[in-house]
Amino acid sequence: MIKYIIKRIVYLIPIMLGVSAIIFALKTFTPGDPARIILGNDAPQEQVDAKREELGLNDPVVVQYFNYIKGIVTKGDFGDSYRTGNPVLSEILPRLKTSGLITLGAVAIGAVIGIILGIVSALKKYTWIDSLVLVVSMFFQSVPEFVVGLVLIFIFAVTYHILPSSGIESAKGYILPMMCIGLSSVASYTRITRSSMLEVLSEDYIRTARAKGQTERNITKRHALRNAMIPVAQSIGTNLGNSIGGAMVLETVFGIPGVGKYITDSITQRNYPSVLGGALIIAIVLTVINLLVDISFILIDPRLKTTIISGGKKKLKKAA
Amino acid sequence: MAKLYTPEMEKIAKKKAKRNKPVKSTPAFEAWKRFRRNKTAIVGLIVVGILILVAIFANFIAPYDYQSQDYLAMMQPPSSAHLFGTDQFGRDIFSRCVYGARYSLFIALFCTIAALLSGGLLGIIAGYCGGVVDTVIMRIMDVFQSIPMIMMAMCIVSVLGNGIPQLVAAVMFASMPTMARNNRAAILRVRGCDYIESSEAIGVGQMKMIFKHMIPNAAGVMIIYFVGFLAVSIMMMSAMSYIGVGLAAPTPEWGLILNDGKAYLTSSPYMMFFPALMIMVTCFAFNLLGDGLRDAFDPKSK
Repeated sequence: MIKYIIKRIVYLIPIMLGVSAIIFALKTFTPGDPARIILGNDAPQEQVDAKREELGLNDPVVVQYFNYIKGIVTKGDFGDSYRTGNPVLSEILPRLKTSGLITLGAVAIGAVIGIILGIVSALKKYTWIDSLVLVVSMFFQSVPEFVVGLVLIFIFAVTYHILPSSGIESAKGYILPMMCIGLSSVASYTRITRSSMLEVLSEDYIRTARAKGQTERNITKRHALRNAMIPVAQSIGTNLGNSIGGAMVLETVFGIPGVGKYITDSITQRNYPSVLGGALIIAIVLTVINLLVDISFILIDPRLKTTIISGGKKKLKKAA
Repeated sequence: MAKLYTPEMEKIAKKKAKRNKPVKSTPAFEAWKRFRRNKTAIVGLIVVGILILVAIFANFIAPYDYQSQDYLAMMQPPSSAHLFGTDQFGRDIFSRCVYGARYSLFIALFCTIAALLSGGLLGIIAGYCGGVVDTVIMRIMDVFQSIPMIMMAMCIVSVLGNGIPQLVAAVMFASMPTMARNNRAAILRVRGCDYIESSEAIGVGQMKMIFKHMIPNAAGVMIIYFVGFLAVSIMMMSAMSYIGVGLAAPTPEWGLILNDGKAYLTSSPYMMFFPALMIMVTCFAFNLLGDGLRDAFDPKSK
């Protein structure tokens, strides 16, 4: 058990190195001389050269990459914003809270609606309700979130003035973006819940429960649902990445000062360190959260332990 | 009572009588038969077909040029002269939406083909070779996947700049890991089959094995992902263009048309309504089609 967790944590290191290598590679492709951009167009050439030396831009690429990693690990240095000169990390951390809140809210909305719809369509399988649920949830999955967002803004903000169209001055501002991202993930929860419920409902212990005269309601609630929730809960981890991606776009649509807005603004301002640093921070946060989700599910459901660990062993044998 | 003889059965019977030998029922024909029964999928297919025709014949359908500005007809609501109205520069929104179909569909097609050639091929190689090659390729894909798709695409566009080739490259890199994973899974499913083992036993060459035996048999599943990715590319592209990190201004891409109308949502909502409708209809149609294809090619997965 502990061995598995340690293995997973150790496995994070190459992934993180790889991600930082991608970001570093993109960094070397950025147009313009960073020293020149920091000092401005009028700065004399000697100053620029000195700055280049200071930033280590004259070193070989490998040395630069090594210094980059060293800076991140020892000082949390993801680069400085071209615009403000502040470290990217200190600019992003307060925004991470806003983005995190939206993502969590979205995951909660999506999961709750999706699970309820999934149960309904599993219990009413092959009826018109079932097909309706699948088509509607698929509609929200297939339409881009920002388009749903625009429609919701038009209905709730422009026409009826119930909710604000942008900003998060009041807590109401969170509702629409959370709804948009949540609705787009409903379909995947519905599908998983439906298929997992159908599978569980055909198990022997459900038949036993029926045979002993248990009510249908209790069978669904106590026997079927609890067992059917495991794959659903596991899918939350994978959905998290999509929801964060959705939040990136919708923050710009709704004018919310989160990481997504920060990054899109930085792209239009050609503020490359902020873009790439921000992306790297998001990737790290996401990977760590995914790991925590995985580990917590093994702790919750001991049955997974055997499948994951033996599966891992099999893979190791194959590789060897 | 159900009909005993459906038209296709009669057709088959006629063919049989003609050739006087049993008709070979190909997997593709079986899939088409299953697909035809699925009404939502047929709707998706028809809408996608119409969109493709619109994209190809955009210059015959659009009444105006997509970038000609008419300062005498600015911000006009929909009328018979301008079906979808005009924007703040007096450009005909209907024409822009029609040309938008051309841009959106073709760029999405390029993105998906590029993703298939990069990620798809890597996935096929990983699935076929297995062992160390598989581990190395898939671990690299894991790395790519730890950056959220749209973020990856945004980073690449920010570094390379706006433009169609840059956007294609961005979407390609962003969707590469998923494409690799899907194609690898498709190949792995075929790989375990007996006929692969038997062709191995009679000494079929590697290239012939991959292109003659494995890919045709995995093609059904691959087509499903291909169509799914077209929808994903359109979604990603329009979202990026809308927030201003995708294509550059006069291009009639649906996300960009939406972006143009952003400031006038309160006064003239039609400017955003029609391009939004186009995006919604297109993405939904592609997903219906993709779903129908999945049920047709892969009936067991439901």
